[in-house]
Amino acid sequence: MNQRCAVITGVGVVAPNGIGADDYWKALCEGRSALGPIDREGCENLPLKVAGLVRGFDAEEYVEPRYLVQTDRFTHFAMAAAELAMADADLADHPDDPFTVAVVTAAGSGGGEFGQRELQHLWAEGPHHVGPYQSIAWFYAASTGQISIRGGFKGPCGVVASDEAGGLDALAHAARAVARGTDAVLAGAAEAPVAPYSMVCQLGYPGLSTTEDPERAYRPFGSDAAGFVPAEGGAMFVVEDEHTARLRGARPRARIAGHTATFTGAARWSESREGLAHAIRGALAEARCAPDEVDVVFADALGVPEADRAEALALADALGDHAGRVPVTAPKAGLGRAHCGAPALDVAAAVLALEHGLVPPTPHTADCPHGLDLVTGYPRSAELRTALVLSRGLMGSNSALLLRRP
Amino acid sequence: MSSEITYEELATLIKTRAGVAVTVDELADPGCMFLDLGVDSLGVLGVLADVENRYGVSIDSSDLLGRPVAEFLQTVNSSVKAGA
Repeated sequence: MNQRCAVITGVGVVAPNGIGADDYWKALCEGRSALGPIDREGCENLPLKVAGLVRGFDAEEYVEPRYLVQTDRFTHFAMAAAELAMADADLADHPDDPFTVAVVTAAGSGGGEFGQRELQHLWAEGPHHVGPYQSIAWFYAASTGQISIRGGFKGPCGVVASDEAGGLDALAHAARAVARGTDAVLAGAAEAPVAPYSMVCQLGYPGLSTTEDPERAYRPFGSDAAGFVPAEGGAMFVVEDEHTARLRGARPRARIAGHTATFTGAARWSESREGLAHAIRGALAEARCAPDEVDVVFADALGVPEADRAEALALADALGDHAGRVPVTAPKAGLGRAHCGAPALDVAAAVLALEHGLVPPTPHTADCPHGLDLVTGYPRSAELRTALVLSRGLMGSNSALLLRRP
Repeated sequence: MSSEITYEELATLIKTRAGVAVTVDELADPGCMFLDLGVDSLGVLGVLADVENRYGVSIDSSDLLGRPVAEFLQTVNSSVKAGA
């Protein structure tokens, strides 16, 4: 039997700096920052002041009314991104054989905005005033469920609940489903954690930046790093068996070549060094990729000095001397961290970087005292064949995904 | 407040609670089922909860979900009338 190989054929992005892969890529290359004050109702008096908000997103443009009333903003993002990815890959809604297509998403926060609204009804008017869709809208699995229901996709669907790094693990899950015989998987993650309730839930994270100046709030790897800021949005992908994709005339844009996930415990940043290094080695081994063949690294880039140092050391542990030479970037410095959506957005950036031979810069950060060749200021041209994408969760998961140009 | 829910009002309720646009003619067709309109069981429950909250009545939903829209409305209206 021929080895089935998972490739990305479609990219769908809903990000604070752009909706659709083209707008997103343009903003990334310009190093444009989308961080700004949180001007959402009910958020005025919280200590968290800066976030990456998706503006100008008209859910009705992408999602039918019946799904709109049933779902939270995070699912609207996921459904919109899935639509964009399917259009990009020219993958049909409602395939002839519905069992050939699956859906896998990751989510960390679930439907906070919807949940808050319904809980307010419960508090103010009583249980009879909580709408029945609360039973599904808050749930992490809602995006997988609604995307599969809408498209009639009946392949081996799943939901990854593995912390922020789940955004990478969802793609690995998709690649494994493809290897086992599913032709196509819609995979990725989107989050909408900037409603008042969701924000209050995040306030306990010690790494959260409470800096009020959007220019200074999130400077990963910088000597003046002051933590991270949250964001909303995410990305969905069409992951297909390469042979099946080529047969139907779709263009493989990147191969999912290797992946490994590890766990080192909540906020134990110094220990994440070992976990992340192990994940990188595992991803390289699966991809049969030598350390010096890594052409670009999309870093997790938490912006907490201890965590940034651990990440730089993990790269040195896994890549040796090459860690100081390979271009490293963190475009999310201009977006914020959309939890599980953040690594998905990094994968979108990596796919586009491989295609364009261009490493987008890390906004905001000016210097990097960690011995990395951090790309700042302007995009850098490079011959890119492989891209390593890293992610760590606030609860202790670490994940590495290796992409290859087909 | 009228103690009879019309097809127009039901159409509005279905639009707001279940997000599905339906016409009065569709609803009044004796064979019309909620599922055919694209309204799932949670959508029907949302419509029902709205009616219950508005008229202060309690309607047994177990008997209603699988029935045609016309029968649904008839039962709901008799509950509303009895409760009014």
